[in-house]
Amino acid sequence: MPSRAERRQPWERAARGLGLVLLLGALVLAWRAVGRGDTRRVHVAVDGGLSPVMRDSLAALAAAGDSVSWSGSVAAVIASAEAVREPSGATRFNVVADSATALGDSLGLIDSLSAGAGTLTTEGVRGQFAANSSGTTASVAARTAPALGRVLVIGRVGWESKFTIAALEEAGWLVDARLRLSDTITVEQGRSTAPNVGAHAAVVVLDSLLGAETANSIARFVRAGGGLVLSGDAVRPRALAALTAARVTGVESGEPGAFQEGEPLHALPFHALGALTSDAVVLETRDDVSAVVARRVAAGRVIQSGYAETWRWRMQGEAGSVEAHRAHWSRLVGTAAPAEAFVARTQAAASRESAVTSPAVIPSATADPAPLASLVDALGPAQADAPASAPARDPLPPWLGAIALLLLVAEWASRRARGAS
Amino acid sequence: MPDFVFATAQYDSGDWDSAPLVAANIIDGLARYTTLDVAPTGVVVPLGSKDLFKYPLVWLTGHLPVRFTEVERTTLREYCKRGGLLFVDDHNHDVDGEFHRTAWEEIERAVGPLKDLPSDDPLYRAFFTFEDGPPTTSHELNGWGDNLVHKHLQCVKFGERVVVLYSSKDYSSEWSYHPDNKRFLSVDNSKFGVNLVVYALTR
Repeated sequence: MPSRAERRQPWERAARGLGLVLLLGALVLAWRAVGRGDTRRVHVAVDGGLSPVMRDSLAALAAAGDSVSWSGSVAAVIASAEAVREPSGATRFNVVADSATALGDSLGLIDSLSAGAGTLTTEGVRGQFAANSSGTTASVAARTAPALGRVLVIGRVGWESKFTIAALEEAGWLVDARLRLSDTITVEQGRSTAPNVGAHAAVVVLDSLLGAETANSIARFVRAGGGLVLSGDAVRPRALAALTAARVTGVESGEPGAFQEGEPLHALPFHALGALTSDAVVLETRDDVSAVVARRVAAGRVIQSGYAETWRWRMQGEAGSVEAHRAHWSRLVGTAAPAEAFVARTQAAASRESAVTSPAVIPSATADPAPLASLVDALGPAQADAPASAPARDPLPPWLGAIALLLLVAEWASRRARGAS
Repeated sequence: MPDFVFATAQYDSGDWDSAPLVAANIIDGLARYTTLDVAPTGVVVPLGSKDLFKYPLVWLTGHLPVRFTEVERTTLREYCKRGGLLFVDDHNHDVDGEFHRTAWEEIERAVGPLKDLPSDDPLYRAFFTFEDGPPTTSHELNGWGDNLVHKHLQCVKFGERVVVLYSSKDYSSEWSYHPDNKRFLSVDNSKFGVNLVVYALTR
């Protein structure tokens, strides 16, 4: 007659077998769940926008296989920043938005913009520049001005030279000058009066009577990457004709009263520029006639400005004309200043300045220049509504493991009770 | 249009036209020593008019008390801010004279207080070199007027830029003669006028 212990053995085997079968079943179910690719679903309701950190986190989830979607209202607003190539340290912010936009920085509101595109040139932005439209904020770091080279003014003694130098110096340029006073006397200012790409960003020529030696040195300077501005009576000196993009096709005197009518450029004598070369770029027109023309020559740039006697703008113009005259000249020289040298000097200046005082030059990791575009790029277009939430289906029924565990523990306890190992 | 036009300021009070030949003399000096494109005759420009801004260097002189109108003061202030330079010369050569006292008051009221211009200022090397500062005049050396030899000119500066120059030396008398008569002089006594114009054109 079998003992009690022997009678329990079949039950123990059965419990062990059933427990192992249940565990094997759980393993098969889990394997199948992985094979089906079951994922979590994440939906975000967005009001105004997401922080770049949150957006990147969601994008990481999506990249890991989760289903991430979003819905809500994010305005289309984009901001970009570019350093103004002048010594002022200003940044030009370009903003495009589909509704009214408030522009500001960490200190508060700076300006506002109606729907569309706009540009704000300003200096001294604290923190990040922000464009807020309907609750969505595009932000971008200011880009500070570079350490530009000096400017060499070559002209003859006169009001145009004097006030051009004054305007450039007031705008922050360091100016060298060589001004012809008589056949034997030249008035010099500054430390270097020969064009030199190592020292000068640009040369401004205001004297049409250039000697061959001077003209050759200027041509070498331009081909080596320097900028050249030809203005007024010197808009196309014979000795530099090969560098220019336009010829003078007419000379007009200034219109009396134009200063008082708010048309200061019409008050100035004007050399109309025409017969443009194929590579000429017209930067400015007056009455549909080319007034400021540019072209590249080897590594340098040449700007021709047809406006003469611009000093009258400063002296005779209405309120604000001093600033406008200053900006005119600084812009001309900044346009001619070499881009490559500009970039190199900018980087050098930024590394120097960032080590000292100017956190604004360090691009911020949290800048968000185009919130909507970045969101769509990261997570796809918005969904009209949040998707209906399906009940989560666990690939393993919770009771399966419990029963398997119970059976195995019971089998082990039975064996221990009868003294088996 | 010529690069330079010599302009004499006309003000409401006083005798602004007391030295009519100064313009011709300075123009002669510029033509003689430089290749500046200079207008052959000078102009007279009212101190309170917008035409003042066409001439970034203006000469002002007289013997009689000076009292600017409010428009003249405002215009002169704006003229100096924009880059103009006013040269004022006391035709009396007399620091106790009416012109001197009233002109100083008016300049201070319109632009700012006058201070001595150092003798090593670039003005004295702008073309000819004057080692000792402003050249003396025969009126000083002969003891006329206040019987003083004035060592300095005075100036008002905006920043580093001179906007008003004041002279007690009476260049108005010294230079008010027909340029043809320079041939009777062993040394051209109007050379400092060339410095003044070149300084204005380059500073």
